[in-house]
Amino acid sequence: MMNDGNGLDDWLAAARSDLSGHVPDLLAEQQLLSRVREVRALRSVAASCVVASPPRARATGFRRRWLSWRTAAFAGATTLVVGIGFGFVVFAPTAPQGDAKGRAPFLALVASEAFAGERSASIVSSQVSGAALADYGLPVDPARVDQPIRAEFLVSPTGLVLAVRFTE
Amino acid sequence: MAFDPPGCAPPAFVPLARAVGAADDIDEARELQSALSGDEAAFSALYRRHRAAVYRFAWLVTGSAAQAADITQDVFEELLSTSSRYDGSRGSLAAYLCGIARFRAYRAADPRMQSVEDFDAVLEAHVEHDAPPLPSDRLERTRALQTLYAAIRKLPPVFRDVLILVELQEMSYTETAAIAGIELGTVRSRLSRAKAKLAQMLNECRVE
Repeated sequence: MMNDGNGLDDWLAAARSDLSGHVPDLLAEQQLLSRVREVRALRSVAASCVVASPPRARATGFRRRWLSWRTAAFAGATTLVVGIGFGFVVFAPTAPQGDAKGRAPFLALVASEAFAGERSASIVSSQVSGAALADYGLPVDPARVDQPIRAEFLVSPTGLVLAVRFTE
Repeated sequence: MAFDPPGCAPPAFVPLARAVGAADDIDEARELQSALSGDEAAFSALYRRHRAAVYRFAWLVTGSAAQAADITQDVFEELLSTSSRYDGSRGSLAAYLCGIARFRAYRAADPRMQSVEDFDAVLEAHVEHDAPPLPSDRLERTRALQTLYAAIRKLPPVFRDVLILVELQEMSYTETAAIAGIELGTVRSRLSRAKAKLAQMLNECRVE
C-alpha cells in the first residue's frame, strides 16, 4: 500500500472501511453447512455400503397393488426377521454407524460402484409409505405398512436415489 | 509472507485478512481436512475466516450482491468437492479461494471466457494523475464511494485484480502474484498503473 500522497489513498482507505460491512448473509452459511452434511453422508454411505434391492416397477391397478402390498408386507416381515438375525451375527461389526447426533445410518439403495461416480448429493426429507420402501427391498413393519414413515433420501444430482435412512 | 516495496513504509493498519481470525496461526490444512470429513465446526471456522474476502472480491468485480453471494457459495462448494485441489505448500487458503473467486467472477461476467489470461492483452498508457479530495460529508462520501467502485469496475481486469487484492483486500504482493498468476514485479507495475488510471477516472467523473 504505497502512499503516493495524491489523495487516492484517502479514497481507498474509505473504501476498505466501507467494504468491511460487505459479507454474505447467514443463510449462505447454513446452506453450506447443509452441504457439509450431504458430503459426509455420501462418503459415509460409500464407505460402508449396505446394499438393498434395486427399485422395481410400481404395480398398477387395484388388484396388482393389493397383491403388491401383501407381498411387500410378507417380504418385509421375512426380511426384518432374517435381517435382524443375520445382522447381529454377520453384519453388525461392519454395519455403518449413525452420526454424532445419534441419527440412523444411511442404507445404500444402489451398488457401491454407483457412488464412485458421484461427487455430490442432496439430502431430501420426506414421508413415504411402507409399501414404497418395500419396493426398494427394505424391511417394513407389516403393522405400519400403510403408515407414513419419515425418511431422508440421499439423491444424486441426476435424481438417482442413492441411499435412505429413517428418522423416526 | 508480506512483500513491501523498497523505500515504502509498511502499512499502518492491520490487514483484514490477518485480523479476521489470524489465519497464519492456524493449521488450515488440518482444519480443511476435518471440514472435508464432515466436521461442521471446522468448516464454519474456515468459512467465517475467508467468506468476506471472497465475497468482497466477487462484489467488486461483478457489482452485484446476488452474484457475489452466488460466487461465494460456489467457491466454498468447490472447496468441499472431491475435486478440490488445494495444496497448502503452494500458498495460503485465502489466496486459493480468491483465485477460484476471480475465475468464477470473470466466468459470470462472460461465460464464454475460459481463462483470465485472455485479459493480458489489455494494455493502457501510464498516466499520472492526482485524485480529487474525498468529500467529508457523509452522504456525499457514500456517493463518492459508489463512484469509486464503478470506476474500479471499469478498469481493465488485469489492473483491477491487482488493485482490489492489494489495496482493498490487503493481500501481500506475493499472494496477489500467486492469485493473478503473474510475477512479483508485474504486480507492482500493474498496481501503479491501476492507481494512476483510477485517479484519472475519478477526476473525469468530477469534471462531468
